Amino acid sequence: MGATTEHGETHGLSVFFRDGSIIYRTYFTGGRGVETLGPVWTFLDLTPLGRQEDWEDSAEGYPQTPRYQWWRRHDEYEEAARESRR
Amino acid sequence: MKLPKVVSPDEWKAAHARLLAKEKAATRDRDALAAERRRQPMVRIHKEYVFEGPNGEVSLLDLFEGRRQLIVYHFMFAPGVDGWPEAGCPGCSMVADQVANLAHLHARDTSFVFLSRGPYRNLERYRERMGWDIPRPAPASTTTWAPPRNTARLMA
Repeated sequence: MGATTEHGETHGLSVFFRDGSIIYRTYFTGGRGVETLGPVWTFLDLTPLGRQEDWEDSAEGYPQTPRYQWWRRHDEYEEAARESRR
Repeated sequence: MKLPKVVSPDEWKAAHARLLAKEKAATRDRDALAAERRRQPMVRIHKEYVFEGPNGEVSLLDLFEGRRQLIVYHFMFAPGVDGWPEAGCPGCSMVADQVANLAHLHARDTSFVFLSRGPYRNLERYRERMGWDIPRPAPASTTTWAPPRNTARLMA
């Protein structure tokens, strides 16, 4: 289970969520569960907040923005933030 | 080797449409599964974990780097693993090769780190060899658990 034990090492992926300084573990996958991972969407789909897009069926009050529109070229995110502060 | 049937373009289209319907259904199922996953219960972490990174010792809280969510991949780089002590597990390395550019995850309030048992300098050397230096701001990508026993307790 993604651990170091007396039987040796196994791989695995865990998801944690933070509320202030309080930390929760929300998810784990191992074995072939990691085969489907890599793209940004696949990782976000494992998290409590998801992709944070408005089409998603998420719990009340979760942060969501219009689909696709938050995507930037990877070197332009900070610039986008700077622009919005102006 | 028995190859698939060769058909006319129209037959190909029809077959493709039938498959596409199933593929779309699978995509919707995956969305529904993700929605259910977002509603899964969670468990509070009480233990004070200590990790070693480029800037010395850090806590689990530090690994969030101020973001709300943290994804941790337990990367097998330890005694008894193929490649030890100079290289990490081939399977984990293949996973690492496929990890998306983290800038996009960061934009959604999500940090990502690899954790391994191996000595930090070995992890760094291997990271350089593999070229895993795409935007993964320090103190990120490779970190080692200290003391090592913590790994088992958290992940098991």
